Amino acid sequence: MKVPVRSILALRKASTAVAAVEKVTPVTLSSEFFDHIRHEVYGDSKKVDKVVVTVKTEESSKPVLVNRNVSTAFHCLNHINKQFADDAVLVEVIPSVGGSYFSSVNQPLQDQAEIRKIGFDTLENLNLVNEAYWRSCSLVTAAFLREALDVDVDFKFSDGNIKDGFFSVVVKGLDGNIFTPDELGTINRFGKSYIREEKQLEVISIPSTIAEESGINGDNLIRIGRQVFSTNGPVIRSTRQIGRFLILRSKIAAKSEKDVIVGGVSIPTKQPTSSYSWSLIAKNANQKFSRNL
Amino acid sequence: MSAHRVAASLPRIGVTIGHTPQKLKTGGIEPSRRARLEVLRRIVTRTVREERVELKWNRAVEARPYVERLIQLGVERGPLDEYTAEMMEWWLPEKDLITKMHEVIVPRFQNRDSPFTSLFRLPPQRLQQFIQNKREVWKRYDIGVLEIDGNPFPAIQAAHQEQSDSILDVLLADALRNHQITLQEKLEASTESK
Repeated sequence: MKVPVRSILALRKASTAVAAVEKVTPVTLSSEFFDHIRHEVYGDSKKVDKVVVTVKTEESSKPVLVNRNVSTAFHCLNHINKQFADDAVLVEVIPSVGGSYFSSVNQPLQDQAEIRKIGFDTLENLNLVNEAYWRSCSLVTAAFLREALDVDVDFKFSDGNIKDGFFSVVVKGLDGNIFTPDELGTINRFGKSYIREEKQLEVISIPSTIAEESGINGDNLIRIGRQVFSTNGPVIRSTRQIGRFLILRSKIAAKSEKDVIVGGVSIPTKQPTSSYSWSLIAKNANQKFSRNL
Repeated sequence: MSAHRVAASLPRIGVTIGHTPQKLKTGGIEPSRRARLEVLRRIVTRTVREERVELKWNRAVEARPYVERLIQLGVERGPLDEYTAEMMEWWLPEKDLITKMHEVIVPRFQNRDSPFTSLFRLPPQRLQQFIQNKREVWKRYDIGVLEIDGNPFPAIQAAHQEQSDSILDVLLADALRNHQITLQEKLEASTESK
């Protein structure tokens, strides 16, 4: 599945070899870089300190002993049960010192705290969940596009809103070549198989000093498979939480003719719907994305 | 005071009264006119005690006006009234329920108009009647839930939510709205062309 996209873009790369030289990012976000930053933020993972984290559920609170800077909220939620942990989209962390904050489920816990699961069915903080889901869809799109395309591409993520009806990601490095319907079909097939691999979204929360030193734009570093991106705000736990997913089309960006915007739409696995409803959603998203400049 | 004169002095009860009195057969009670009242008395007593009961639909419809009238007597005429006391005594043979009626249920409706009860219809249930020569006999029952308003149980009907903010609902609501607009525009365009 991966080969046709690569070959399509490889041919295109040969024909537009001069334009593909463009390089945008000040720092190369690689998997090794991610490990390096993790070591810098959380220290050596072989030196383990224990902390008590209290998992709050609707009925009770359960204290669990976990590894500081290594264990994530997902590990703590697993102590309740696996389904409870799998359903978590975000967690609210209430540290023993300082104010509470919302974090990704796969983000290591740094201190003694209370955590509360937030899922797609939670009534409170639903906007935060929606934003995290939309953000994650953009990141996953970027991840599989980078895997699929045989040209060096960089991505810019816009603050999408669910009410727009679609999410989008700006692809830099395609030299203004938009995807043909055949290519979109291949990309969609590849994207779906990529999502089905149930990749974890690993998260590091970067302190501003380290972010400035390393030249990272954003307060979170996300790794999906081998692809690393920086972003602002929490993300979902795994691509397993992504249900129906469709890349709608691509178009030239209004600001720069060399950049291409790829738009898509998705709904979570936990919110299944009929094919008819999904076709309405996809059609509406396509129309809105086409109109939007 | 006779029942007719008392009933005439009370406002109408705010629930539908069935046209045909039901026979309401029950095992252990010989069918007769009196038997019907005995069955209704059991239902009324149980309703006052439990405040929410699940019954066959026809029995729930039949018993509801009696519960309504009993509460109305308590609200309108009070515990000291002779006729009310007589009715309470007959319909609620368990004495603690008379106290409950005057001290718990009636004060709940002092500043409220009837109906004081609610009746909900549940999906029909198919229940096994008996087995005869290895043949199972099943019957379909319409089920009703009769309850006294203001009871402490969770509501049967979920409170109407204004709009869900889940991703699916937001996307689907927007898609349906735009689909409707597109269809409207097409209709108007076709009307104009004609």
